[in-house]
Amino acid sequence: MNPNYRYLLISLLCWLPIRSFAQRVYEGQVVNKVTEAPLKNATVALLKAKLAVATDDQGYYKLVVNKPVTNDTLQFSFVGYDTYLLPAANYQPKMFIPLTPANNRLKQVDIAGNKIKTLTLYKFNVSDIKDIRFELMTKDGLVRGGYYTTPVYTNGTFAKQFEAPQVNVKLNTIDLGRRDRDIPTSPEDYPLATSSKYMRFLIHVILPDSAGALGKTIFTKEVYISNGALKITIDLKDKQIIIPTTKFFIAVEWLPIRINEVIYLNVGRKTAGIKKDGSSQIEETAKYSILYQPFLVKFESAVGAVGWQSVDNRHWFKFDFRSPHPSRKHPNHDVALSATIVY
Amino acid sequence: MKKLLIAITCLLSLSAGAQQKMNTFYLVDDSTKSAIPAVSVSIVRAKLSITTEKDGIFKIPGDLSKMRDTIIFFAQHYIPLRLRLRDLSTMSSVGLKRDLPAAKMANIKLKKDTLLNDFSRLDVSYYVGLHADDPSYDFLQLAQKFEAPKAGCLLTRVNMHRLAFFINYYSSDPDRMARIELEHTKFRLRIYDIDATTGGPGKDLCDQIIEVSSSDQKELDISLNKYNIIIPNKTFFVAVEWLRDYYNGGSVSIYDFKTHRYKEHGFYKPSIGISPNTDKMLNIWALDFAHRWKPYTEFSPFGTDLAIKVNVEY
Repeated sequence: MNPNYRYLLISLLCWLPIRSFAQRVYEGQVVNKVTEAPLKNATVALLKAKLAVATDDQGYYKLVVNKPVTNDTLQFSFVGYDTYLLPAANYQPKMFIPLTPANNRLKQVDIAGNKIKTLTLYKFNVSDIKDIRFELMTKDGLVRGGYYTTPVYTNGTFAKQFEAPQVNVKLNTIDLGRRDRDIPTSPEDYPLATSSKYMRFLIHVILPDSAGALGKTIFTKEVYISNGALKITIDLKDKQIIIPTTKFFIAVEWLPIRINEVIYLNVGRKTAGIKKDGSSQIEETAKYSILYQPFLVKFESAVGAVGWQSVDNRHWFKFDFRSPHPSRKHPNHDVALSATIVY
Repeated sequence: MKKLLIAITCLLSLSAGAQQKMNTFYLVDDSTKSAIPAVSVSIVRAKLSITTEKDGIFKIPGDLSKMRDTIIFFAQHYIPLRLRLRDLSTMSSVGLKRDLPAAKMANIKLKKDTLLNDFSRLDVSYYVGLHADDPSYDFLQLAQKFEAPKAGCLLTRVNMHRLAFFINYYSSDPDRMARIELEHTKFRLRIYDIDATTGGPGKDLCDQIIEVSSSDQKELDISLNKYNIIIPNKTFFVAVEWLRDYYNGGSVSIYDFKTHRYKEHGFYKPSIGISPNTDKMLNIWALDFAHRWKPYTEFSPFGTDLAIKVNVEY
């Protein structure tokens, strides 16, 4: 055998097992296409690999395949919904899969026959919180990337102001968007922060005081997340939270506990020695910061939000996301935090 | 040496005033009188520890005769030496006695191999010594416990995950991405038998020094074939020994929720990950400044293992 072919054959033999045993991970969320509510217990299957998992409370799935099969297909199915097929080759990280209800008409009749109104205040879509990459061409012909969303986090509590159409509404669910602290802006980049699927935080429902600022807390719940869901739905239907005022606040309180910690890279400097002229010889070095999850999502929005921030839950500082930005399609910013009420 | 002096001077400046006497010592092999590199020098009550450089020199400022602490010298393949600090006031060199592991059996051919403590590196989220309530870095080594399928296995490979970042940036040449590497590190890998009394790490199982260097790799894959490390019992330990020198030193900024201020804490690279898999038993042991092995409970109950996996043949 020609020596060149022999090397080629050896290379191929070495390469093939690595390819065939490469692990693949599929993860994301399955949601109702109409309401974007998470679908619990939907089935996610890889048809050729014959693997399947069920989604959890957040509609989240994680399917790990140790031996991927070529041209496999992901199948998403749920009783009462049209089945969704996705070629595995078209999978994108942390995809939202929208399932269409199989009988929309029946559902609409139900809603029309019911006098209870359901309204989501500051509703956001999964497309608002899913990072959308944009590219800009610089003068040098280089492609620079970026994302429309930015992380929101504090060393205390962040509260968002809501306005219900009437008093005594019932708070049914709270939805919030979540992202990693740092998301690379190009395939060649790597994140400059660690990420963790685990986090624990507090949700408060707060009434306004006489001056319209944050006053009495009427409800608090600790939320624990152990998956990589980007949209988190907190179901409060059985808590019977009646809000006696039209204006109210929903607050996220960060907890400085280990499970919430991520490590973020800063470039620091240290003195490597003293030069002959007496000046310091400085070296760049890795310097880390500890940050705390969750990282909420700020996105460009037609409707701007009003937020408040506090480090002690007593002194609140207002900041307005409705800063005009005329050059953009959406001049305002919002934080992906919504409240669904019934009345 | 200059950098080491700066480090130890800073560390001890809390207890020693300015313009004090500088005491210089040479750490040497007791039989050959040659310098011993990378000796761990720990001052127990002050909770200070540094690693010497190649010249084996270290300096302590102040009047040693008035100091009431204990100092421990420890180097691989030497017997640890414990002294009162005040006893050093009459010495200029410190000799350590050799303690080499027993000779091993010749190379043998084995047919099966297995991977122990496997984990997905994508799920590693926590790292030793960096998190807010564990900033003291008061351990010299951390060891991961393994259970081999049988006694007499050959340890062939160690794979570990550590925290490391690098920054890509666009250079003026459009075809070339430039890379900033900030995470250089060097450390020693230690292999231990089980101590029958404590259940923790016991005798050193490698008669050579395994020093690992890395620039910015997160995943370190270390082949041990050339060391011919035979595991005599089913239980054994793989440990990281930190070289607490200038090059590995770093800092982490942590927000204090009580005082609402940021604090800086020192640490040493590499920061080894905590395995995302949780075991019923805690399998991490730490060697403290007083040279005692203790279970490492900082990440319990979810962090029972280090992000270290090994391959053994049998």
